[in-house]
Order: sequence, then C-alpha cells, then structure tokens
Amino acid sequence: MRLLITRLIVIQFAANLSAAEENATQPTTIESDTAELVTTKAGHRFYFAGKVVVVGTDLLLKCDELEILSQRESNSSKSSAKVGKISLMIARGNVSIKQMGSRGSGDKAIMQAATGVFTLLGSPAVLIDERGKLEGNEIVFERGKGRAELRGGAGNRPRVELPALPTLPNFGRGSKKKKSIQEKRKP
Amino acid sequence: MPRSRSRLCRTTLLFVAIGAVAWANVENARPGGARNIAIPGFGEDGLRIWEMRASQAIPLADGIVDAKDLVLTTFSGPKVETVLKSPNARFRTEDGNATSDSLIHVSGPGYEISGKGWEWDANRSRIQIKANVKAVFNEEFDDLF
Repeated sequence: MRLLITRLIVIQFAANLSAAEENATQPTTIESDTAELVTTKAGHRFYFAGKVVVVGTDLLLKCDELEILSQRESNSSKSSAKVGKISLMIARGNVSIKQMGSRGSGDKAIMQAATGVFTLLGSPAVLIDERGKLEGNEIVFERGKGRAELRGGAGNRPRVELPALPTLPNFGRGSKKKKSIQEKRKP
Repeated sequence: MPRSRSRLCRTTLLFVAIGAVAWANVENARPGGARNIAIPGFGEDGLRIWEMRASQAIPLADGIVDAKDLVLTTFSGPKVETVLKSPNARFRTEDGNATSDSLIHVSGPGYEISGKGWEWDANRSRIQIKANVKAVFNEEFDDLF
C-alpha cells in the first residue's frame, strides 16, 4: 500500500514538473551576419542583417533583414530592468515563416504587438495551412479575433484556395431529366 | 608624548601613501601600460553614461588606448543598460568610441548578443557587430498568426 502511495506521489510530481517545463518561456535565438543595437530613451532598436534566422519554440523565420523595437519599461525601479516587451518586429527580404502547421512567404512581414496585428506583404504574399491557401499582395491577421483579411494589388486579384469539399450526395435529380429532354429533342 | 607619537604615526602613514602612489605610477609608466584601469564617460548633464574597465591599457597618441579584457558598461540614469565584454579593443576616450576585430559579448536586460568584430559609439548609443551574430532573447516571438 505504501509503495502504491509513493508511486502515485512520484507520478504526480513528474506530471507537475513536465507541465511547468511546458509553460516555461523558451528563449528565442536569432542568427545573422551583422547586427546593430541602438539604445534610446524610448527603448531598444535591434537590427539584424544577412541570412537572418529566428528560431523560437514553434517558430522558424528566415529573412534578409530583421528590425526589432522594444519599449522601455517605465515603472521598473530595479537597478537592471528587463527589456520592455517587443513592440514592433519587421522582417524584410525573402521572408519565410513556419509556425505550427502554417507557413507563409513574402517580401515583408510586420508584427505589431500592441494591436496583435500581423501583416504579410509581397508580390505575392502567400500563406498555407490546413485550412487552405491565401495569396495576395497583403494578408492581415488580427490575432485573438481569428480574422484574416486578404488584399490584392493592381492587376493582382486575391486568391483563396480551400481544401477539397466533401462529395455532395447525389439525389438523382438533373441527370435523368436532362437525358429525357435530350431524347425528346432528337428527331 | 602621546601627541608626538600620533604625529609620528601620521607622518609615517603619509610617507607610506606617497611611496605607494609613486610605485603605482612607476608601474603604469612601464611599456606594458596601466593595469586594472577604469575610465568613466559623462554626459552633458554630468551623469556617468559609460565606464570602461580593462585589465591592461596601453596609451597611444591622441587619447587612444589599446585595452585588454575590456568590460564596457553603459548606463541609463542609475541603471545598467548594457555590459559589453571583449578580449581586445582600441578605445578613443576623447571621442567616446571603440573598435575591435575580436569577439564580443553584449548582455542587456532580457537579451544577450555575441559575435566577432565590433564598433561602439557612445554619442549614438550604438553597438555594431560585424560578423557571426547570435542573439538570445528571453521572450517568445511565437503566436504571430
């Protein structure tokens, strides 16, 4: 009985530990050829250029240039404050993004953290996931609202490809009727 | 008697202090330059905005210093903004800038960046890294769409 209780406690502890590990924030790494860091009164500006690769928990972003702006935390009284939340992220040139089951590509991607709006621009900007394929000059996502807006440009109409629809049931209408009409018309 | 003893003590201490300073100056005047130095830089408002520390600093002409084991700290008010570490750098104290072809490691609040070859400009609060950049942010960029 004691052995059983001990085993249960150990299993519970292991479950809690793995849950805590899953919830922990994983760092994001960025590799590039060159970088520039500018600090201002407003915050920090990071600029990465040349074969930029961003690897996160569920993110793989590749581009030619990446600019990240973070706002300074105003209410921090510590001697070494944490960098403010990332407020704006702009990826430029040969942008390719893989996130969970989605992948997108374009010329430019803009992420505005405050509004939760993510914009993918290109000629064309393409996004593919299990729900289908979006193609246009501008794809705008509003995070949290589950809403995406697809905009085309001059001479480039937006295009949406949905997965194949399930086969509709055949009620036997139409085909026989057509046949009989065709037979009547025959001399 | 106690008064004269106290004077003697003070005089001895003074000579010891003068001797120590003279010895330190002789050490620093050697071709190897000064050791374990700290040079602060101040903004227009008189506040310290950066501080350069090095295990060895060889002064060249026009305020140029070749520094070894450099630790450059920048401040935003009383807070530490960034800490830059590099094994070698050429530091221009009058202009407030430094350059190096050596490795660099910059740590700031919530991020760390490393690379090879760099430039620092205090007037623009700018650090440029020339090659092999790797940055780690303690923030997730996931959940974009």
